[in-house]
Amino acid sequence: MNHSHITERFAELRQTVAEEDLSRASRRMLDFFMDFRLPPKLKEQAIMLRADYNAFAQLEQEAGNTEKRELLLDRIEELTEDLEKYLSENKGHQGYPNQSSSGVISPTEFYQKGQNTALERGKAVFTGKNISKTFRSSKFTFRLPTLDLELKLGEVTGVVGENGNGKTTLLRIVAGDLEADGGTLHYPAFPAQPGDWYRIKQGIAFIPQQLKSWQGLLKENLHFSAAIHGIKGVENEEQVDFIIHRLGLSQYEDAVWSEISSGFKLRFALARALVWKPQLLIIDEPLANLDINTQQVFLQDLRFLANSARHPMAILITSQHLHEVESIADNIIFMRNGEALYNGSMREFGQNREENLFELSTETSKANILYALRQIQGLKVEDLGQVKVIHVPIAIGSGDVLQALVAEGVKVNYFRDISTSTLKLFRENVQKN
Amino acid sequence: MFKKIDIPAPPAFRQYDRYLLLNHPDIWASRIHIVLFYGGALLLVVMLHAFLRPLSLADLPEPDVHFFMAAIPSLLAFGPFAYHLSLFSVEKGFGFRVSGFGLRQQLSLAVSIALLALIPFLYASTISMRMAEQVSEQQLMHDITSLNVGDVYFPPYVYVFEDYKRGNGSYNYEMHKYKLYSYSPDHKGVKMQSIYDLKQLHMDPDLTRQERVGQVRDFIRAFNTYSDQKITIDAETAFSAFEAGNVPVRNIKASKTVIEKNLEKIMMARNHQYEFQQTRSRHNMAFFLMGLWVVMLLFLKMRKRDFALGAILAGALITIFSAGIYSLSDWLHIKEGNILFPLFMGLFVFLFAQSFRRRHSKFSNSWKSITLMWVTGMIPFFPLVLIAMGDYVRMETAYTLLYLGFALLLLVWNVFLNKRFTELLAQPTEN
Repeated sequence: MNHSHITERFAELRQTVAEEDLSRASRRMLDFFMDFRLPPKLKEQAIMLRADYNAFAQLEQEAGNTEKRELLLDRIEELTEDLEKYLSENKGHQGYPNQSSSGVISPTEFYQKGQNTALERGKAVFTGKNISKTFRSSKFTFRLPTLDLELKLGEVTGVVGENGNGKTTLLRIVAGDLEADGGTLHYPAFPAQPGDWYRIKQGIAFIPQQLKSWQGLLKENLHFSAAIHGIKGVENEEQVDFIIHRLGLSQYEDAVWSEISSGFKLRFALARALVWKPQLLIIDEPLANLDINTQQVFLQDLRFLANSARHPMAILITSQHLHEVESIADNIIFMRNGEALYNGSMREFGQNREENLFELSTETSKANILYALRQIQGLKVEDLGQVKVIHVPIAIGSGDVLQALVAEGVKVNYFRDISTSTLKLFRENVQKN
Repeated sequence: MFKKIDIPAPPAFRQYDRYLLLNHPDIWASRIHIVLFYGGALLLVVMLHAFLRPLSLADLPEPDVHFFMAAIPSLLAFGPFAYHLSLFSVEKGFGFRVSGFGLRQQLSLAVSIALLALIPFLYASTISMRMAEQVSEQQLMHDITSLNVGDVYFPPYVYVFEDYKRGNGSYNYEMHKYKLYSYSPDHKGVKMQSIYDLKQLHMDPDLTRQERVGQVRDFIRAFNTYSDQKITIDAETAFSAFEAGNVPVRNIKASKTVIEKNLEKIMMARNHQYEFQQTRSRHNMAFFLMGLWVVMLLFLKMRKRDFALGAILAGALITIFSAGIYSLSDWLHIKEGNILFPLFMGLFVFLFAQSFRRRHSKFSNSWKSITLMWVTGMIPFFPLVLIAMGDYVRMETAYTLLYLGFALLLLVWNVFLNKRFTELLAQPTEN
């Protein structure tokens, strides 16, 4: 952690504000304050701003309110300017005043001496070698592909694949809920002996697909969860307030479990997991109960929170929503038919490909598409029913294909470049079946 | 927690609740502050009732009955307490990082149970104390004498009166009957009113008419004090009727029963002879509460399904174990005590070994948890069984051995069981 990192983050914040994306800007503003411990007065303003945005967003759903939106935008711009002024004024001498008098600490000092010096981005939280699991019954045998897995602070690992391929099984093994048949599991970040599951589980936040109901008030659960993990007093209040506003849950903080929707249940479960700053967060199929807009925000939040400068964490997530998960994942595991077809960096996926693949939804027939793209050498089109997959040489980009299709009058309903997406593994599977 | 259920609580208490939630979550989750607050309030209410309720010597309450009546709100309060305790069961739902949690949990639970148990005990004890102080020892003896003498003038049964009228010939025989109807419950520890004294009081030829009217007056006053029915005529009228051979006042059997009952209640209260005050009852209550404490600890440390199954199967296990001892004793012609120890030890070792099974299937983990639960339940009986092997154990010794057993359990729980139950909860399963 150094000043250039703060500058970089501030630049990103400024950019978000400039884009007038109130939701993202108010969230990132809060993240900034939680990461860098700036003057409490400014922090309070950021929390208030986010709370007002949440109220506004709720109102906006019922009836548009542009005046209020402009007002919020003005406030966030004003706060950004105050923040910029503060940062520039305190840049010279170690960045910021000491915390002893004003409760403020320099980011540099915080990361040198603070409570979280051990939380270094990139540090391995979990290492698994040759993890295997087999379930046998009289009717079927299920075999989890033997695989290696490493989860690091600040990284998101997505586990994707069809139903019944062992995504949840893998998550349960990593979470210590299910015993692996073979392989070795290590949790180097946790101060626990191997096999001391009670201590190991204290560092893991596991959100299963089927959430267990909570008792008591939702906010009370958040306070309790934080307190039982050692976050007490004022810090507890701050942390809970932060997570409630950060995830847009303030309107339901005094509700009980049965009063909220499935989507909010998941968000509260996430809040309860995040409020005590776990080093390893495991989430099983979180997108299933979320609408499209919320999915985007949810995944974006996961990405931001994993990247936290103060409390980076490793996230392991399963989903059927390949594209969405890929958009935030650093690593991806694609499982199919008892095999891990891909287990590695998302960035590297498809780098050595020999062709580009585009997924297309159109009412035009395969023959007409072939005709429309007749100029492309080495063209191949697969008709998978609802979608068609176009294979072209690597030199041909998505723009070339789309341009040719439009020029020939092909009506395209949907078009996606899946050359670097595990979706192509899915499509290959459909083809084989 | 109060907002949804809307229980009345002063703002200071709500603030304290929040303070505990934010700073001492283990104490907050133990609900001890709620038990102390509402249990204390309940205790205050019942104590006020016990102190302020009017007591009439003609209609005295039954402290044993009041003990059970006051135990009802305590037991009813215990239900929600146990339920709320399980809601924030830390190991099951949250994981914890607070050191010393186990000990604080045990202490909080013990204090809460003790407070709830104290409510009926203090309530009944207070009523008993007030009953004992309703009338002085001297006054009580005087009243009993007056009532006994009154029985001579106005016997409760006609045939007694007729016998009495037959004259001196059968007098001794009739006086013998007085003992049967005496108000002096000597078996309750009060000095028996001797027949001789009665005879002296009644037959004393030196007694003047005025003195005899005085005896009747004392009788009517005592009768009206301790009976639900009242004699309304004055002493002079009553004695004149007696002289004329009439019986103007019939000390009916029902009234006599009521008077005897009230006198008995006072004497029992004076001598702490109610059931809840007996040493045996107190020991039994202490064992019940300690048992409840252990059950609650197990409840908090086990999955609900395992706990319920373990509790049901424990009933069957106890039945089989008891039947096994009797059958073996008959079959082998050996004293039950000699069978008890090896069987108990064998079962203990077997169950303890079961709790260390190597498999981690869901079934195995449940079984391990249940067997450990049973082992926990057997530990308090360990010293008793050990001694019972040798010889007959006196009740006092048995009590001591059981207390020793609970102390042993406390030790074993903190050294081993608490950790082991937690490990079982955290252990991954094979399926």
